[in-house]
Amino acid sequence: MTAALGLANTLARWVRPARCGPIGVAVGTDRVELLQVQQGAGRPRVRAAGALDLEVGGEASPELSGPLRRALAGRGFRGRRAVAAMPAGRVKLMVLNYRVEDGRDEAEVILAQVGERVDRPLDECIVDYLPIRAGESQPEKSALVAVAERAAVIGFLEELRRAGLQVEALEIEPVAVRRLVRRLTRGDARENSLVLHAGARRSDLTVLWGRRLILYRELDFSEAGAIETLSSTLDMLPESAAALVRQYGVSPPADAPRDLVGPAPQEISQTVRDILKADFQRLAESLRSALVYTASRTRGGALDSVLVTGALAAWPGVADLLEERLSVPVAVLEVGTAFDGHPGDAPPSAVVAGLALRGLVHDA
Amino acid sequence: MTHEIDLIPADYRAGLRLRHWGRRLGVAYLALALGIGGARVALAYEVRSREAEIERLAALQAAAREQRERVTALEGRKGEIERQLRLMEGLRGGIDAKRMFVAMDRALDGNVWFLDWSFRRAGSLVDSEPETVETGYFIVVPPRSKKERKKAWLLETHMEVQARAVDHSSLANFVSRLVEQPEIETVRVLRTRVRPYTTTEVVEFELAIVVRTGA
Repeated sequence: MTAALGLANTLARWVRPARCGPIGVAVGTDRVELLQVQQGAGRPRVRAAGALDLEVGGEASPELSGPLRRALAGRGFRGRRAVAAMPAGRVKLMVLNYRVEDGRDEAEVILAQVGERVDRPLDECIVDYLPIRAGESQPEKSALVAVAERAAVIGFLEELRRAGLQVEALEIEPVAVRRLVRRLTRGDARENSLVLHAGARRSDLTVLWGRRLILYRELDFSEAGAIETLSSTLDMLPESAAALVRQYGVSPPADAPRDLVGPAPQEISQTVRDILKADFQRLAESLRSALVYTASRTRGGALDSVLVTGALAAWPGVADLLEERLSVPVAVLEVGTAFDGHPGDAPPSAVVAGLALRGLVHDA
Repeated sequence: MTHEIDLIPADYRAGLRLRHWGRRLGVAYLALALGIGGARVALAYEVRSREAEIERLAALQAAAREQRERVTALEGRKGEIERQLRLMEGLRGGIDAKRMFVAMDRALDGNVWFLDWSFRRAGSLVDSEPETVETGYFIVVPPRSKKERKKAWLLETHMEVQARAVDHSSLANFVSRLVEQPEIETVRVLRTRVRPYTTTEVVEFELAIVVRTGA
């Protein structure tokens, strides 16, 4: 019976080859990630993945096309269709609340507000927005607006084109993360989550109420800032502080190595917690504020969980720490569980995973 | 389906599409140009091959023409030689001397004796229309060209005999016997006269004997 099923699957693959999604391209400050998945019978299957560190030098953006070509070469990517996210430093995200008067176009209203908030002419900018549907009956609406300098967008797209990629869409990171969460929750409309994306340089939170994105907010928190605090307090190099916190975190893992002559892992984690107490307090307050806002917009609705992604997700014990302070279940978003098989040492980031899922997950 | 944020400018996307199609057109044009170029090269090669073949055939044709002209010249020479050969054979034709002497001897008796005997074989070209070759008297000379009239070589093979006979009766008998000889065509008595000879008279006469040529 099993053999027959295997044969049937093989024949099915011959008759109808697996549908491949676009190549997700996530460009961070010092790292570029690529991921391509293909539609399987159950979960999407990772077809190819690649990551490469960028040479960061000075203020200028690192050269991308060369590393991208190297990351693409010989890893089994099919085709060169790509979906990328505009690097966080090169796009400004804002939430706008607006009213659309009779006879006025929604885009015009949003553009007018954007014009008041950016310090350059709008014709030098690329603007797109995602309506945050807080309630059809309410006259006041919200939108998540992305604003990027046109020259920066064209420059970024040209870098990708020179690398041989055919960019189908240029998204923003929160939208990609939302897509991944929808994949992980199987599109369950009853699942309401707050996604905390705590990156190396910046952080934001997104509230997903069922299928809707109802809140986006940038946070005054970054892994780099926390590491800087730690390194200055402990008087150690930032690289050493980063290695320490990624190994022991704010709560030591069960398999943490024990140094016979040094302090116990629990002591190290406790020390880190103490040093970063203020940072986490500030972060928790921001999250609580989002919870309150969500409750107010959903007539007292409660979130089911807080999901942590980004660099902070790699810190041991961070979910427990946040859960203590929020009284809401907190979990690290396990990106790898969205796919069958993921080659490479580390699972892909939430952003690149969300980008690679475009077209394979309905963003209804 | 909700609106998706996409920061790719519409004009950039249109430009890319244009560039994409331009590149496709360029590739198609290049392929077409390469195809045409290839066809031209192949055609030029074929033309060169054919021209070389034509040159080779022309050289063969010239050689054949030269051979034909040589053959024609040789055939002309052969015809001339054959004409001369036929002429020579004609000239050589006729009875030989021995048979002539035997014929004369058969006609002679004791009453006729010769004083002089001359033999002549000669000929001359005359305008003639004989249709047969080597009739005995004429040899048709093949004309060298169509414009040239046919000529015949008139053979004049005859003997002149000056002799004496004891009387006219002996002369007549001699002439009769000569005419009966197969080698003799005709005999003409040119002149006779009676001439005193010692104590008697003899008949002195001259004969023209035309020998049958080709006999």
